[in-house]
Amino acid sequence: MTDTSRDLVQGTLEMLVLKTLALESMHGYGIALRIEQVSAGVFRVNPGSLLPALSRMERAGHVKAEWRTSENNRRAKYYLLTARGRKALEEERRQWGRQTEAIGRILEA
Amino acid sequence: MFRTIMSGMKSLFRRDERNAEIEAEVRSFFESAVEHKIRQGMSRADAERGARAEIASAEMVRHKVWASGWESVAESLWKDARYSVRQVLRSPGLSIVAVLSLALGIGANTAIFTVIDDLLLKQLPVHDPQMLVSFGDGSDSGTMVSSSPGPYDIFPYDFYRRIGGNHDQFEGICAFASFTTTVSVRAESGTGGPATQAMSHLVSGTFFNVLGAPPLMGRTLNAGDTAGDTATEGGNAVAVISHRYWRENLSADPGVIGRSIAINGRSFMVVGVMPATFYGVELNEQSTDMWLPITMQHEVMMQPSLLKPDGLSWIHMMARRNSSVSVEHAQSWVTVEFQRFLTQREGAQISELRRKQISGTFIPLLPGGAGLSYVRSQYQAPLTVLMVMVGLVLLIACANLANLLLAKAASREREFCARLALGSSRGRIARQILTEALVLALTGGALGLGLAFWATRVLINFIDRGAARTALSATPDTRVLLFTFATCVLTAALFGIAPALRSSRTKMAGALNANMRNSGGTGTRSNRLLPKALIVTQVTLSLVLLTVAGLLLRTLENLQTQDMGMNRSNVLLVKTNPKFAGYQPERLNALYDRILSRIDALPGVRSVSLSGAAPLSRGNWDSPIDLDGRPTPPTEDIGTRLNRVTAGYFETMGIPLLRGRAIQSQDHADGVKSAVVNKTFADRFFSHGDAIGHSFTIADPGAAGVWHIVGIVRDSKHNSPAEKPDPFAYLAVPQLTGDDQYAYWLEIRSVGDPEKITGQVRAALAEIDPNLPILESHTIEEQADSLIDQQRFVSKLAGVFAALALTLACIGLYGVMTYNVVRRTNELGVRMALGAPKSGLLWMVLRESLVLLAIGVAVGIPVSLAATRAIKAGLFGVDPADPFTLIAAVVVLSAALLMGSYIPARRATKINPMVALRCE
Repeated sequence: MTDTSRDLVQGTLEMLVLKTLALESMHGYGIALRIEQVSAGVFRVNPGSLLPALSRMERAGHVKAEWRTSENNRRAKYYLLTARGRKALEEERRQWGRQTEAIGRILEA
Repeated sequence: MFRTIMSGMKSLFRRDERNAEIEAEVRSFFESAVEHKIRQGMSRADAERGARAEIASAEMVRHKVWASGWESVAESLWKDARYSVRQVLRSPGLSIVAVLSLALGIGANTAIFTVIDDLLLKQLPVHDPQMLVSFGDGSDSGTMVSSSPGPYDIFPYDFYRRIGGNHDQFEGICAFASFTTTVSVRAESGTGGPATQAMSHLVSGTFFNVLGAPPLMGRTLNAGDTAGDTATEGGNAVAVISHRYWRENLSADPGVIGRSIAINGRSFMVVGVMPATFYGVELNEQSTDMWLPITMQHEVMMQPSLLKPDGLSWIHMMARRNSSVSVEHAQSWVTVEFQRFLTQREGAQISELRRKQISGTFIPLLPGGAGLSYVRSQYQAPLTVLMVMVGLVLLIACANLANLLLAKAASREREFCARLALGSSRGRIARQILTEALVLALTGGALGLGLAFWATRVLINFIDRGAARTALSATPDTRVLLFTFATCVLTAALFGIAPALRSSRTKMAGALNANMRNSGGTGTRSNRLLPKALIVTQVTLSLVLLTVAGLLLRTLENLQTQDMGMNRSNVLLVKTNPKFAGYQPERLNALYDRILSRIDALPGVRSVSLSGAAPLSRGNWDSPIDLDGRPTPPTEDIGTRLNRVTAGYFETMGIPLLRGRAIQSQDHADGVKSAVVNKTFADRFFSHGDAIGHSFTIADPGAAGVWHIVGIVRDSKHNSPAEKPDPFAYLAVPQLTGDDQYAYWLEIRSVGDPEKITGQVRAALAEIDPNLPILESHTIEEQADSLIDQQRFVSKLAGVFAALALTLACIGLYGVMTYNVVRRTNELGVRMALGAPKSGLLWMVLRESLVLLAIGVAVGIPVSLAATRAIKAGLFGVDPADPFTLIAAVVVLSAALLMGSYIPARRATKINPMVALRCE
């Protein structure tokens, strides 16, 4: 385990989860794995922060959860993006874009 | 939001289910991880180890997920509360004292607030009360001629007729008598059943409509009921009765609508019953029984008509605002209308002075949603003073509680350290202590609420003088409950914050050390300073309360012993009304003769007289006069108070005759009209010569003719012991005519206790005419007391609250000192073992209290002086900075507090050194 996994930029976890779920519905481990793979191992999400985040997002109505049978015949809790979640993703994405742009400008100034 | 709450609730109530679900998810996460790793080529054992390492602690993950919702906070609060209750129960003695002092403090606050809420804050139970405006503050009542510039609140009926129909400026305007009238009622007209008295209020037909008060049954009055244009036409003889009257006097007859009742011998038809919540527009001691059309004034009051075009001012007015017209605009409109009305009434030959006076009159439009109440205006200031006092009492109780919790926190330092060491946060510990404070405060508040319910009844009983029916209610409404709850929370915050902050700052090192003194001996200087500061505050506040209460009690004493200018012992006052027995003016003199001679002959009666108004009663008869038949310049104050009396009045009341003669039986109807004046009258109007032999005329048409001054009596007081004497003229009853010839009060001077002859007087009156009702009967002492009711109210309660404050402060000092002695047992034991004398130890402990007392008094004296200046208006015959009262307060305070600290000091000297040294 590298330290980088802890260095997930504050407040971006939910955005990354939303983005991951935008492609297809997945269970918890699947989400963690996808984030790790897509980020080429830079971000590792441990269940101690992922599962509470999913619970919060479920409360907020950004995702919906249902128990399904997984590809190898196990029961797993699958998370689906809701319409509200899609909107939240777009909003966060816009915010993030503005922030990185601003940060970039400051760093290059 | 809703979803969050709902799912939170669901997981709270199905806690196990939710946890099982979280566990299942964590397990499935783990299994997926393992499978993934196996697929990547690890052995099962390696994969499981790796996955476990990633998840770290499954229990921790589960807890984190659980804690992501608000319900976990609620749950831990609940746990805190349960733990707090256990903590509170662990030291029942201390907790009982704490809860009791809080209950007293919160109860006193709630009781006073309930009365304030009832009297000062409550709105009328009508539709949209904030749209109601009152014309003036309604503080004047009665019938009067008034012409001076300034604000007006009482009007002639004619003025209402002039503007009552206007619907542009207001949605509606209503008028009602500025007083209630006692009427004699027989349940069935025509029959001779027993008559009862009822409180009636004359109102215009628009009254209920403008207020927006629908009836419970039948109908209310309407404009048609008072449509009669002149006095002679009268109105409809109809009555709307109160719910209480319907229930108690008409046995809640469901067929009451359309029934006839005889009011003053005239048949009225009941057309409506109001709901139980409706009490009219006046919130006074006695609530109204029935509302009658204002045009029936002559029949109801049994007095000449007041509806005449040039009549006296006697009505109050209210209106419902038109939302499209601003209050300022409406106010200037009614003011202009009123000035025009006054000008037109003067006729063509209006003097320049009069014109100027009229242009200075105005009608302020005031919020009328709370109705009118003279009780309110009387009690506003006293209640404000009392509210501040009970607030201070509560602060003192808070200081006690803070000290108690500080002491407890100190003894629990080890527990807090253990909790900190086990990973609890400091915030969590502070929250725990605050929760404990809240538990104490809420328990105290609940008890206090019960206490307040009882206390409020006592207070209301005092304010309404035990009236059988009143609109004041002791039942706490939502506002009172909210007030009490807010007080509890605020109290808890006040006394919990210091201990919470302090224990969250517990130092870890050393506190767990087994050698530490078991009762928080590590307290730093600043830690020991806080309880002392709290004690000093208590001493200061107690001194303020004691001084204020002392001054108020001395005011009461001064008022009670004030010379009223008459002999205030052994006089019985009896009120009757010959009108109710059907007497016409021409038969009155014969009746008076019979009453006077019959009662005079009773054993135990020294002398007897009759008068129009009772001595020492508010609201006398007032009128301008002209001396010796020459008109007085309008700039001179010629207002004179009047009363009509029979022979024997001055003798019975013990008002000394200074010169000339009193009213005698020779002053009969055909004689020269005789008047006796008081010294102020003689001095003011005849400063250069003798008043006797001069004469005057009275502007009031009821007392026509020239009155000759035959005697001068000493000044006596009438409305209040604190008043300055006004010119006063006593007229001979038999020489008056018409309505002014009625005398309602009998004064009887007895040999012994006046109460004892009440029965005989009653029997004698019944013998003369069984129809003569006895409306009131009390001693002159009681009458004098009723003049200073509100002073007695505020003084006695102030005394009670000051005593309460003193008790709480004593308990506080006792508690802190006892705690200090216990904490220092070890040290005291050492001193004793080394030969310190007992008196030395006693002094050592007492000195500590003395220092606190001295500081408290030093701070308290200037604060008290500032406080007493604020209540200056409520004092009589005593200076706000009265040194005697201040010294007495300091002495009482010191004595009580020394007693409170002597007990723990004694305890210090009783310590057995051997036990003390082993005490760890």
